[in-house]
Amino acid sequence: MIEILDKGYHITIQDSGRNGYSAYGVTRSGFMDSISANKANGLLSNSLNEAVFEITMMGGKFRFHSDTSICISGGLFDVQLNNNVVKNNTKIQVLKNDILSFGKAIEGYRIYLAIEGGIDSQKVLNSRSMYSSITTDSVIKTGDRYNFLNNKKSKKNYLNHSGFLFVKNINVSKGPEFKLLNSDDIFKLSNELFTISNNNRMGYFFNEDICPNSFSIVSSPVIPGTVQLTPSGKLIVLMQDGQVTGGYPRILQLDNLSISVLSQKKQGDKIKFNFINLS
Amino acid sequence: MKKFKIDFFHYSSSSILLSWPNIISVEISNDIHNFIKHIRNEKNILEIIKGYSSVLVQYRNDIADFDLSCDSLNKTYNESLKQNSENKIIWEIPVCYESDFAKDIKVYSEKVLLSREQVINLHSSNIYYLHMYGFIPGFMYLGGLNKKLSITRKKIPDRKILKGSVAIGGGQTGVYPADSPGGWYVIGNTPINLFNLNNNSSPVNIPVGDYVQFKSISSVEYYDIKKKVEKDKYQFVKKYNHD
Repeated sequence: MIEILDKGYHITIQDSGRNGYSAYGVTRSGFMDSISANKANGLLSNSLNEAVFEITMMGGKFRFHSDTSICISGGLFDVQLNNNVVKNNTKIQVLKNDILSFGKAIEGYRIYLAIEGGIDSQKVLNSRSMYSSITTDSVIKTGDRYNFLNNKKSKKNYLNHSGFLFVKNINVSKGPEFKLLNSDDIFKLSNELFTISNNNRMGYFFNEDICPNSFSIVSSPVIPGTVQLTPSGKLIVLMQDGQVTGGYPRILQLDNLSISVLSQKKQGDKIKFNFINLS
Repeated sequence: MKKFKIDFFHYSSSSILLSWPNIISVEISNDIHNFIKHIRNEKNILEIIKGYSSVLVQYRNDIADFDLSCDSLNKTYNESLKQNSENKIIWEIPVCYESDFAKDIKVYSEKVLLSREQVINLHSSNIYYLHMYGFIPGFMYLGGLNKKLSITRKKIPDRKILKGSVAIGGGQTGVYPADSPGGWYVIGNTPINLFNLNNNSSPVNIPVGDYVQFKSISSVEYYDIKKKVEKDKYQFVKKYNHD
């Protein structure tokens, strides 16, 4: 069992998400940076769908009530196990009464804590991913306790990248309404830097705008990584907790790797769109 | 069945967007629903998301050959045209339009220049087509609102619209399946649950492609139904549409 001694700034439990329910208007949810979450699970030989703690920006303190193995992966945080520094991407043995604490993010924005065998948290519509109105809790709370699961081992491959997470380039392909853009917009999108403003699990916004417009489309499908254009010229990158349909033009689409890269960005960070061709 | 021209778009490494002519119509939505029925059990498909006039098919793995995948989808579409003639069902949604359940009905009636009774009659006499779910879990995108009931959405959305609220915004009407912020005018409330988390296979009762109709009920009936809902004894009322 693991006990939450301090709920941190924003910690949720996530697995690979609630797939197959969008037909009922249910948001996907799931790991924001799936590359890192997969790595944390993979290094413990967990199934890549196993639930993990997703720790954002800073904070979080956990006490273990039984022996187990853990792995952390993603952003570089100041992490300590009983006052000893803990490294990312290593399988670590923990003992009963050990205390794991997360400080501030040094580089990146989200770090994942996986536990061997998995975390036994509430499962709704085939997923443990927390989402308000679906699961009882939308974040973990101080004092919560979670049992461990003993789920079977998996030998599934995970992507073993290193260093790619903190790059500036975000790969995008053209969205179905890209054709509405004028040449100024396309120039800006291809050449200028965009600075991240408000952001959360639903979406990322930027300080820089492109041209205001009066485009609107009938409500149409969107997925994580879809970049919408609002009438005022603002860009919104939809993330894991975004809606399933939207009425704003879909001008770009991030690739999977870049969804992970963007998830490691925080307010003030700059990104550059890098156009790619699909197929 | 009329055959529509479908446009295929490579939306992401693992997904294809299929677009029908870009208009909101029951005929097009029905054609898309019918197509979805023919692909939804394919094991290599992860997610199918329907919009008014398009559908996004996301596969479990990256698409190896886009043209080949499109050909296969197109073939399935052509096959789907051969069988589509089910009787459509009309589902009844009981609504109490009394003041305690309809915080905006007074202001709304004044704005649309109708009496309260006219609003209730117009709203509960039409049959609405369920195009899809979206916005929040269990929220129905309904087509078929009488044009006289259209209203510009509130400039400043309400922070909290109560679960069960029946509301109108723009040319649309809908029911809030859970508490939510929203910019629509609340003209009534239904005691029934439109989204049920205990049912993993389908958390909704009313399938997309069917119809709904609102039925005006008194506050006494409202609480009777609510009791049944709480005891899990409420039975949805439905009838066949013989158009």
